Amino acid sequence: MARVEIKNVTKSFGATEVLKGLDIDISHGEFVALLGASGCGKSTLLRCIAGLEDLGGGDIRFGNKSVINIAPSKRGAAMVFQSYALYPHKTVAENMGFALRIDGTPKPEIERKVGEAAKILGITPLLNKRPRQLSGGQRQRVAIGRAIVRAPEVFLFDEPLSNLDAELRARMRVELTRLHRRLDATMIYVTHDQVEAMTMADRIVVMEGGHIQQIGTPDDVYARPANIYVAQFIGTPKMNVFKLSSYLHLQKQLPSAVANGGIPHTIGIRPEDIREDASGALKIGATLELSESLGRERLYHGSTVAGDELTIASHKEMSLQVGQPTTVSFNRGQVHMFDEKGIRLDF
Amino acid sequence: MLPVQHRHETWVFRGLLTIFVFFLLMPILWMLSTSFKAPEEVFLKVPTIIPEEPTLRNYMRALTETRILTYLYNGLIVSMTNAALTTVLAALAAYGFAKFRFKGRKSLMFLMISAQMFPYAVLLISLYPFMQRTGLFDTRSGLILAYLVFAMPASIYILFSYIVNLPDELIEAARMDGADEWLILRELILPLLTPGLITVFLYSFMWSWNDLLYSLTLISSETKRTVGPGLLLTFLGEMEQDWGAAMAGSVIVSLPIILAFTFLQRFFVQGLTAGAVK
Amino acid sequence: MALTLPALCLFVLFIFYPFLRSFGLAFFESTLFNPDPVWVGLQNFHDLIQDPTFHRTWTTTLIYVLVTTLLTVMLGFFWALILNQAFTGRTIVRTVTILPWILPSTVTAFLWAWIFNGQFGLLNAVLKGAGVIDQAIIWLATPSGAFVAVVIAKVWLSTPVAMSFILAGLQSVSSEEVDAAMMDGCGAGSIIRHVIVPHIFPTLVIVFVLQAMANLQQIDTILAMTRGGPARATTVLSIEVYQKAFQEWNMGLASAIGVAWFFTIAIPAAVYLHSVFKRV
Repeated sequence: MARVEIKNVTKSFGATEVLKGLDIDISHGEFVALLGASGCGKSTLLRCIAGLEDLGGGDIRFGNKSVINIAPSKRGAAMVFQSYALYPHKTVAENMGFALRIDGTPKPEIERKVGEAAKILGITPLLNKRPRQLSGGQRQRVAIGRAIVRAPEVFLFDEPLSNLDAELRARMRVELTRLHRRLDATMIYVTHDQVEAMTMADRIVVMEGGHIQQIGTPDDVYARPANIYVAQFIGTPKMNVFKLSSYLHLQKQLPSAVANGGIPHTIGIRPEDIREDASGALKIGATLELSESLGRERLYHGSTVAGDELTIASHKEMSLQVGQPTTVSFNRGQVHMFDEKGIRLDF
Repeated sequence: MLPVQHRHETWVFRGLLTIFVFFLLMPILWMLSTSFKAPEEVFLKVPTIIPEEPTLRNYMRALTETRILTYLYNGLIVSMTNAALTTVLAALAAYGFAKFRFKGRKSLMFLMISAQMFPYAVLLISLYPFMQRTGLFDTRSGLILAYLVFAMPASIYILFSYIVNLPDELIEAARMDGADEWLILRELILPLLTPGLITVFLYSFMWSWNDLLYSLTLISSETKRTVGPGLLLTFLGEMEQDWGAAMAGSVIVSLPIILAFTFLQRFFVQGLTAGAVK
Repeated sequence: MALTLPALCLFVLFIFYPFLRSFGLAFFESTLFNPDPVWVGLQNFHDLIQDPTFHRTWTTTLIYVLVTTLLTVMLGFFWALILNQAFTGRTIVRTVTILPWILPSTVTAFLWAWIFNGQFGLLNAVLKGAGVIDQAIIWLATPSGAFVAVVIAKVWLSTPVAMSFILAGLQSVSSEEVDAAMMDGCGAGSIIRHVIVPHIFPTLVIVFVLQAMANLQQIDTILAMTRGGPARATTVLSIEVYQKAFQEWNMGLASAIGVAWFFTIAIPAAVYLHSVFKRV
């Protein structure tokens, strides 16, 4: 059983505290994405889980057993590195079988396991090649294959798709999801790409500045962001935010306090929830300055009467007068409210 | 690359190219030419560029009438051993410096690399009595150890640059795979370091093969002499008379280093310049 | 740490210890007749300062180092510029012209001694043939002639070294920058001055410093060509130390010269080591 518990983990590099007391409970077979901008501590956390970094404090447990004093290779975890870290002078088969060889596994068994993993990943014809003869996507598969061969209970991925081009990345996302279903192993996946996190993960851990901002399912973090940071981090283009004090007429239409006593301070509306006409209940005067076509939808950029930036995403072709004052609107159900500290408030 | 478009620029370029090639190669060609000339031809008032009657007599004389074969043998033993020793020790030290953080790491490395600026002749003043006391004087082993100062500091730095540029992730991957430090060094670092090791081997081989000063001072018996002093002391007295044989001898002792260089020159130049420029 | 231990042991035994001992010996009198060192304090240094021939050695050394180093770096730079161009046979030219670098120093000395030979040397034959001189010059027997000869021999052997380092630097100059300068109407000359030299200036400095250090150390070719003569015209510090120590067996005085010499090398060495350790 590979439940992974991260308990009050801290870590500092010199005077800089990079992990500030993190708690995550990952159940067996779950796919969890650690999502955040660079420098948020997600990779450090992953390396702590792998055992490549020592903890400053706290505990990491695999299936009820603390692993912090266990060598990386003995934890039952395998890691896929961002640069793939394939051994350049070894063949694909030797790369994949290296850990087993060190472990003293008999040769025929190594060959069988490597063969099986290669079959799963469709890289059997490559087994005798060397990494430099492979394309980026093939190297990626070998790196995953090297992890699979060890049959670990926990897979650790460190931004594994970031060196691939867009099309390949989309394909590998699907394959990784399929692999996860097939292997029944716990996967922890570090990424700065919200699309990867949203599409593959069972749960997303949004990190920022060494803190966890939110843990939730992809739908959860998108529909119910815990704070303004998450709200603006998840979703492209990012959520519009308005300070209520600049829009007194909206303040009157929204509750002045919610059930738990929180006072709405800021509201956020996603670009796709804004209508480019006055048909919604809540209205704001705005000027749109330019439009971009993405093919499937159009983005309009402009500013509100109070001078806040405004982005609207629309599937319709608008008969919009660029530069002319207009009114845009949205409904109450589409408004996210946050208090003075940026914490989400529910109606 | 510079733009060379106009006709006069092309001519200037070709002219400069020719002058440089002439300056760098003429002495060597002249050595070859002289080495194939009969004595009468060597001493013509107006020298011939190409030997009119090429002969191998100078080579025969150099090989049979001098101890040049002994010098070659000694030179090979001393240079190979020194190169091997330097390469192994420098690789270990460089790996230690590059991938481990220990106290005094920087100052120790600084001290070792700065050893290349110690004046060699000054070192010799104390090495000489030291070798005599320890019985290493006039032995090949003594010479091999004394040669460490030539190539070792630069070698440590060259290999250090190589290892530092190996991605940490590679070593971490091996650690995740369960490899211990020795296995990482043996299976990962050393194979990946091969070009650097060849560079360093060649570099230290060149230093010991080409040395004159140390061998001249620390070896006294003719049977242990290496090529530098061997050549000098053989032809010094009679140089005025026998330039043909001196040039033939020069060609012979240059051959091993030229051969090594021909096969491995790719490693040599790239390896040596990679660390210094960037 | 343990990995560096074998190297460290040999360093201490064969480099650091003898070096420090030589340093200390500068404060003793130790000669062939008095092999047991006697403490004399600063006497050796005092003798040196008083000694006009030592002043001469100093001047000779500085001129030798400066002239040789400047010539080497300049020739290396232009040679590297030439080899950075595309032309047929470039690889073979680049490979073959490395040869001066790798030949044994005795061979280098022989080559040039033969070319500068007064009676049958190539140089005299060429100069006479061209009508520049009518009488053969006995180069190695005249002070200035011998000096020119040892300088040329060293420049010849180091030009490929300097070229290799500078060429590596040149190859890191982005071709886009050169293209941009061309679009701005620069010719070859102004591209060299305004794009290439500023770009590889750090490399040029390093090469200069490395060469200056090497030239301060240079002894083999001079020893084999002139033995410091004639009339001490080619006696540089290294030759002086060697002769004081191993011909006159005056170890104390030789060490004192060595100390002065060391501090001279230390200046370029400090520049070099500083640049090395920026990257550690």
